[in-house]
Amino acid sequence: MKKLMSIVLVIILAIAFCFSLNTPISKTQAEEGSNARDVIPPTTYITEDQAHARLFTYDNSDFTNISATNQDISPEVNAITWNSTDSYWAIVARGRLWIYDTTVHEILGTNPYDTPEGNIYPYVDIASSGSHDLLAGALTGRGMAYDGSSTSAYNLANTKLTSDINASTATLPVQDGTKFQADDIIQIGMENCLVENVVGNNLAVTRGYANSDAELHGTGEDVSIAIADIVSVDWDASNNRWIVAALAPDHTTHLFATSSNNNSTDLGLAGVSKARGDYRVTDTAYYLVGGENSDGTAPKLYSYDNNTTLTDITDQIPNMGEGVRVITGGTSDWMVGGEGANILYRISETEGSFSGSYIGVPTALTSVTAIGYQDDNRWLIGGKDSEGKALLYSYDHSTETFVDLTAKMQADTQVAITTINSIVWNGSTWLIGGAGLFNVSPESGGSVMSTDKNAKVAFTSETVEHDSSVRVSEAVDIAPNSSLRSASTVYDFTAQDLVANESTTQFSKSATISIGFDPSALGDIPESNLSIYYYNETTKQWVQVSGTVNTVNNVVTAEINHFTKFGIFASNRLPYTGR
Amino acid sequence: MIVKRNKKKIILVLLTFVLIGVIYFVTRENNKTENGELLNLSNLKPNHLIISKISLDEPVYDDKKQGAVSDDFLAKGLSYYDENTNKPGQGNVVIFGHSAVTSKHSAPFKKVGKGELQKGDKIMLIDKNKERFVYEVSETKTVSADDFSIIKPTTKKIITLVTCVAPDFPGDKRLVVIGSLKQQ
Repeated sequence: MKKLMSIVLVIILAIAFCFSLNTPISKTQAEEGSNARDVIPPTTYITEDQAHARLFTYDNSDFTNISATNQDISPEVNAITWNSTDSYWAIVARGRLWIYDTTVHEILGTNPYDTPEGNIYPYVDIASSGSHDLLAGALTGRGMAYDGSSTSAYNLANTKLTSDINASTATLPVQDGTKFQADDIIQIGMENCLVENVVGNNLAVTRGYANSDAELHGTGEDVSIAIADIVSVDWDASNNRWIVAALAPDHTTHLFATSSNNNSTDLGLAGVSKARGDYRVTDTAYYLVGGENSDGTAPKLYSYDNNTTLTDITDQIPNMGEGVRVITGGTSDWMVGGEGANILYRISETEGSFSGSYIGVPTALTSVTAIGYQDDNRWLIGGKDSEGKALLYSYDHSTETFVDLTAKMQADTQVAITTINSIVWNGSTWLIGGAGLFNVSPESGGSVMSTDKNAKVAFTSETVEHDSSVRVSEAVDIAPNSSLRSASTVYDFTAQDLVANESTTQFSKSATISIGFDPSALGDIPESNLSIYYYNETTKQWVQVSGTVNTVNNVVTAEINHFTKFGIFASNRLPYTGR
Repeated sequence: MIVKRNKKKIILVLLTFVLIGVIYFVTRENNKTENGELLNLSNLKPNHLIISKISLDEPVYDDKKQGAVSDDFLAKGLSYYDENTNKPGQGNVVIFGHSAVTSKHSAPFKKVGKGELQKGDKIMLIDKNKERFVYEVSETKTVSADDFSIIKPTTKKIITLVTCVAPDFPGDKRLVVIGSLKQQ
């Protein structure tokens, strides 16, 4: 047995010896070629511009961007007011309340509408009484009061039921019938009712109105004007009360006078939608409120004679076009800004009679979004051009001249400002609030994709010089020459520098683009023949870009440092091996 | 008894040497070129194409081919079309090479482009592990430049050499030499 094992061992050693002399490395030892493909790192891409709140001062000489740490946590500054008693600015930025004294800081933790998900009611206006502010929420008519130290809920509720009612009761007994008028839509619990008329403290109503069901209700239940959105808030100094414009569920405006929580009086139906209003600076005898008609096709403007009547004065703003967007009171007049044709009027009042005079604006200005008042001659006008870009002008009424401040504003602030929502003068400086719609910044880069989510671009930091709006949009196909076969939609990659206000096509660092391809378009052509190509507008040729084909996800990725049209093509030629 | 044991040992040692000799000669036969010349194995270089008939002994690169063809593709010399598709000895091994000289590249397939390879000629490919594969030319043909069927993976173990057609090197034609694996 031992001999046999010895023989076998010797034979094995001999074979091993021979093969070690001559035999190449076996295939099992061979290093297999790597089939690894680059995989696009997960990135959160967006298809729309992201809005960031913008807040900056202007001292009639220079602009200063402030609130750098706050401006990205809200998409928009909606309204600003100056509290002259306590010397601070109060700012509403969607669902947030900011105070700006020496710094901008948020009033946190006491907001009555804070939820675990954050504050969900976007406020659209804020006004100051000097000692306390009222904030208006756009959603469900929520209001919020701030007394300088804490916030509290503020409701425009009116009165209560004085007896039980069943589902068929047509006359509702309430504590105070004077809170309502005919045509009001009122709310009791989940039920809406239409007020037919008011007799004393009894309301004749249509039950189960506006898609609600008539229900049983008990004594003491709240009876309120049904409100969809609060849209404008002002302080009536003569009567120590707030004037609130709010939209009913049918999108018509009600004016409310309210002096305390749960104690409001409906002043009547203004008959306008999306209303804005304002008093004059030192005079609350008349309130001007404007907006558009209920179907949004024409402007509406009303004057409210203190404690008496609403008067339609729309004929004083002829040819305004689409609607009143902003009203700001001066010492003796109002400025009314709108959208459409004649977008700026000065409204004067003499013994209850109103007259409007058209102010010719620079041709670039196609809508007015904010008006600030310094004195009778000095105003700031914020608006947009036909492409939706923000514009800012100073307006001197004595000479009727505009000075375009837009370039100075962008150069001083060095951030994107694409919307101006509020302009307020506090006696020594302006505070201007709005939004910047951009998706790529120098600080943090950004990632954008096409609407069909098939084409993407990702920027790292310091790739763009300023806040930029980057778009990836589907372009009209440009046929390649016969040696290429199209394997994707053609996409137009564009970037707009929102500070320099010019398009950007070259970047200091590379950006990563990726475009998905359709494998079925290839036929016999191997996927390794795919590549991203850019369109050379000068030579009218598609030019290949070095990149990586991911055959698992059917995506081609490339690093580029310029923007133009890009698409995926496959060469349908075997490599040329001649001259 | 001692003599008997020694005899057995001697027989065992002799048997071992005989076995070594047999194995040596068998493997030696494997170490010849495709035309039967003995190779100096210590000088074998990985990734080389050897065609003795046209005195071709050239490295084969695995250039990164992008879309159409990058400028680098074939600039160094011969190249696999896609080494990962079919590895030598496994299926259709496709090798491209220039047949015309320019200022940017040489022409390793100059004689292939002239049609000097014929049915029955031998082609040896040494892969990156120095393993040798001998193919025999089974077909030569001219195809359209968009005929991608010639580079498709196959189950049959073949080699496909592709170049342009001398002397005019038209862009819409390619010369193709296909060989079947004969020895591995």
